[in-house]
Amino acid sequence: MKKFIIKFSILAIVIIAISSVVLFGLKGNPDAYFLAWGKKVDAVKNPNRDNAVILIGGSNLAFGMNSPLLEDSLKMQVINTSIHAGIGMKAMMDEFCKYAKAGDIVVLAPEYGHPYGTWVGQEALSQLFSIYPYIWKDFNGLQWKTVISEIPSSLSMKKDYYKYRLAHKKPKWNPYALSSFNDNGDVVAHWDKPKETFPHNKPADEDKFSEKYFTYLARQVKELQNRGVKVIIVPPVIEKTSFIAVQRNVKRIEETYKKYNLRQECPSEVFAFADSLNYNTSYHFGKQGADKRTLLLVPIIKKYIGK
Amino acid sequence: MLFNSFEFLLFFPAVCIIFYALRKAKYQNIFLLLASYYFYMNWKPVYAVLILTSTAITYGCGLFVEKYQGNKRKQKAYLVTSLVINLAILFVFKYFNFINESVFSVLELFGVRWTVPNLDILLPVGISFYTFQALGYSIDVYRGTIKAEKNFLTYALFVSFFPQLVAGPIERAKNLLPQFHKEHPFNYDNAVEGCKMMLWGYFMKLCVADRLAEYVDAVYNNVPQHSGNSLILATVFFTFQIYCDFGGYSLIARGAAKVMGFELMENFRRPYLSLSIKEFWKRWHISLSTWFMDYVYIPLGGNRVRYARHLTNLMITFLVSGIWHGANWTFVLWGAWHGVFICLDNLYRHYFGKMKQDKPIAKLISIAVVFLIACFGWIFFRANSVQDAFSIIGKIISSHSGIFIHSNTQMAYCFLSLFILVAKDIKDEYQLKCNFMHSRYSVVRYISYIALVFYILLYGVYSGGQFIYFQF
Repeated sequence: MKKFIIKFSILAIVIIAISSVVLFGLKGNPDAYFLAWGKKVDAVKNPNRDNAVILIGGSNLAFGMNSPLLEDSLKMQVINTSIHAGIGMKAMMDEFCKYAKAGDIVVLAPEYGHPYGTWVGQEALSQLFSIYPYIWKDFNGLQWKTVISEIPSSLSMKKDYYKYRLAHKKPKWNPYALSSFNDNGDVVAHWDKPKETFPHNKPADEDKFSEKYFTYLARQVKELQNRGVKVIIVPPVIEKTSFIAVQRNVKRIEETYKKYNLRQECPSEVFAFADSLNYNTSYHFGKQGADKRTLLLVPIIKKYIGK
Repeated sequence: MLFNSFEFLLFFPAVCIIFYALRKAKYQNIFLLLASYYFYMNWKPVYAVLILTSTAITYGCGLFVEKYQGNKRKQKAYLVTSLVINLAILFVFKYFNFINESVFSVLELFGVRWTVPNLDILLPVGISFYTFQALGYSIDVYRGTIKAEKNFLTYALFVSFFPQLVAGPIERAKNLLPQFHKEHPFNYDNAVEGCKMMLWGYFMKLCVADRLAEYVDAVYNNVPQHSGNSLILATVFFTFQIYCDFGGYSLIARGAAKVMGFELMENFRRPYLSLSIKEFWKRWHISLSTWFMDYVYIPLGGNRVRYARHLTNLMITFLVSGIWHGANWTFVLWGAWHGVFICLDNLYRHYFGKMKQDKPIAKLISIAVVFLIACFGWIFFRANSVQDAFSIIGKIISSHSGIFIHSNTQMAYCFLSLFILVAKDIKDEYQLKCNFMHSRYSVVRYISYIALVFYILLYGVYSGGQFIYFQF
């Protein structure tokens, strides 16, 4: 048995070593979508910044906000920290909430999938980890599980990049690039692109519902409030058809918010927009959708300014 | 718990370590039984009650059948009890809604209103597999082929042994039960061979089956939007997908068992290199084919009856095999399709003798014909409904405008993985001297392992989810 364990371990070490070199050693795409994380962290971390509105959530915020418009309306800096729902609310809040200071307004717009297991991340968390390995410091067991089980997708991302690089070919344009973000952190590069076809959302499996997510959320909100940070929870923006499909999930989320004394600022259906406004997923919107959502947020956030 | 899940990655090594640490067969069996129930209860814990019920009934009936040796009437009564209860459970969970809907449709034609509501229950994973394994045991005890197992825990492990619990191979008691009576000290060669089998099984599942599934699902789930060419390609892809999905699972199962020192029966032997449809069924899902042969075809009279009856027996066996796969008329048609070709094959042999296939070109043509027959049959198997199946066939015959390519890169991955698969099958079939994972040079072996691991990591699909045969 010893012989087998030794040989198996050597093989495993070689495989882990090669994977680590590929993941962390090889330079990745300089325009990678997840590189936006570093910029967003720097923006929130900046000790010289004034009080700001910090938006935290999945890509419903990245692809559904017009932050300059919000800034104009509120006369306050807006930092959109969102990139991808698959990073998970936990990793996003662990990172950005620690730099929020008294007087800041944190707006949380979690997606409907988050309470159904994705709050601890998916493939995107693993990809982010391969670029910013330091985020492991706040990981819990479930996040480690996600990161390890998604290693193949992170390796694949590197492979795809080198495939194009070695062939001296430019990959087909897509909005998932660092250069797609504006200075506030909104994805805007797709605003002049036509709507794409995509499948509508399906309801999440009720068996996967996690109360732990709400415990975590309540704890974070309380901690922020104790530090003098105002916290606003709003529903995500989503296309109408998908919203109808996930009604049962939405109801359960709203009820659980109440159970944990978490206040959602308005009914979820307020942010269910016409399908025509979407771009390439149920949560991604074009300019019209982003503007509409931003204008809906203005009065909600205004209530908290100077409160 | 799925073989291709993170949980299994932790579960399996932990089980192996504890299993070998226990040394004595008695403790190893108790531990494996607990591990197997834990493995199964990861899906829906309540369904473990069904396995336990099936286990208790077949165990008890087995003991009684043996006790009343010489009293055929009582023996038969206990066998029938075991068969009826197990098949009733299978009927309720798998076939009730199908029969109910079929009766409803037939009665509606005559203007009769049938108001029995459908049952709102999920199909328990692997129910057909463990039920058939347990039934095989009951019949073997009745026939006197094996002795009834006295130890309930050992018998419970035979029914629920985790590597083959949810999708086979459907093991025979005479092969597997004696293995639980022996101690299983660690064996280096078994462990290495088992790991190799698992590695190739993962390749088949993640790189071939799940990769091809992306194209197949896109086309088959949206038949009206696709041309005949796309449907042909999707059907060919599905032919390999189902082989690699199920063959891959079987190989992982056999490999996992082998690492722990257990030998499970071979379930797939390069079926698409068969020279006749009869041979195909000796190479495809071998454990199920032989089960039907032993417990359905032979009790019906097999080939020791009038010729017309013999053909009828073959047809019945294949129709039952079809319905075993799922509660849908598509599976019945799939079974009938193969039944018809088995009968034709038999008729040819009966009247003209064995076909000459000595020359390579004759072999090649035979392989191609069998492959095409299998391909066509898979249309019924994969289609969402009978109507869909016929619409696909209609389109394949009539509409040939363009072909759907979801992504050039994905297509390249599909063909690359298929090439590797086919090359390995041809190498194994014709025993060509080009060994990689079995090379006598350790450098070649280790490079092959690492290359295959990275191929799986880079080109595997990790969102494919569960194995197709879990639903049966």
